[in-house]
Amino acid sequence: MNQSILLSISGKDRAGIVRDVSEVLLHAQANIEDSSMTVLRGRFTMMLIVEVEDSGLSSLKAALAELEQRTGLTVQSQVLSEDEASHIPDEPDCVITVSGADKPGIVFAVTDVMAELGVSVADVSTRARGEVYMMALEAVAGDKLNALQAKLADVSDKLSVSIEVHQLDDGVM
Amino acid sequence: MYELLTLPDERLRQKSQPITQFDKSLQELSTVLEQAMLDGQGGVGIAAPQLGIFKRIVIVDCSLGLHKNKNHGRLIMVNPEIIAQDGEALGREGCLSVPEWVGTVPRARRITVRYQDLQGKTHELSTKAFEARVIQHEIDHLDGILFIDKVVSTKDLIRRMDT
Repeated sequence: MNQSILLSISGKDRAGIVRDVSEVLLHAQANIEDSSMTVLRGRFTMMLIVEVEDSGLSSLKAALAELEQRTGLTVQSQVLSEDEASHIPDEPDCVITVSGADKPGIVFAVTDVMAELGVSVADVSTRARGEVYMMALEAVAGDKLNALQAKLADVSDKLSVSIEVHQLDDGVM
Repeated sequence: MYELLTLPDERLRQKSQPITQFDKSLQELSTVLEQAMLDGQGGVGIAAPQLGIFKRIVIVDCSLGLHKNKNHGRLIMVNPEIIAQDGEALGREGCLSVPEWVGTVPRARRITVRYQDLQGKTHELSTKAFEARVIQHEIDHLDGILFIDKVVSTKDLIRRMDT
């Protein structure tokens, strides 16, 4: 049997973090499955789902503790349930982009109307640079797309930020 | 029969050659392409190099799309080239040659494409939205370009908003 483990790892950005982490995982015979890794300002952040055989779980944990000690990276691990590990999320069907003057509550206002409609977020990135705030979200809107567009138009007026909803018409080509 | 090339087959990166002979063998090639497009689950377009035939011909049929969309039905395009384009739209693309992958790709919203039919007669077609996207995707195949070369993440989108 295999176990799926979610690792959250971060540390001061430098060349070689992904190498250091993947080297430890390779030696512990943990396979990197899905992952998202990115640099946020001066901090490199990683989220990975790794798969390891039951028998290798304790040596993986020991190897990660050693990695923390040696490199100063922060490592957290959670064992996923079988349900979580095998769940393939719905593909997003729209992209929402937001830009405007930075002020408190932009992310809340946008995601609040999404949550009210039961529209699930698949991916978000935000960036604050000086006065300007930008956000891009991928969401699974389904038949709520029109309602979402109307509500986001209100948010856009209230916060004076520009919000665009791009419908993703998909196809296999 | 035909062989559908899939990643990581390097032949998908090959540039296709213009078609100069408008004969029976071109008709036959078109029939094979059509069949391969119809065999592909949810397929709305195909380009000859996907079958390992490096000639500039594509077939697009957006009436086969899963969602309702405005389209010109089945288009068989020989030596197609985009002669005008404007606007930008995001869409989610998948490809028969890149199974199990989908990604968000920016494309021109409106295009005008010049192409020849199977008899060699030249046509010009202006279209937009989904059909314009599919045509751009297929023409890319003729130049060895795959949609995965153009996929953007939310992070990329923010970078693009900034410029």
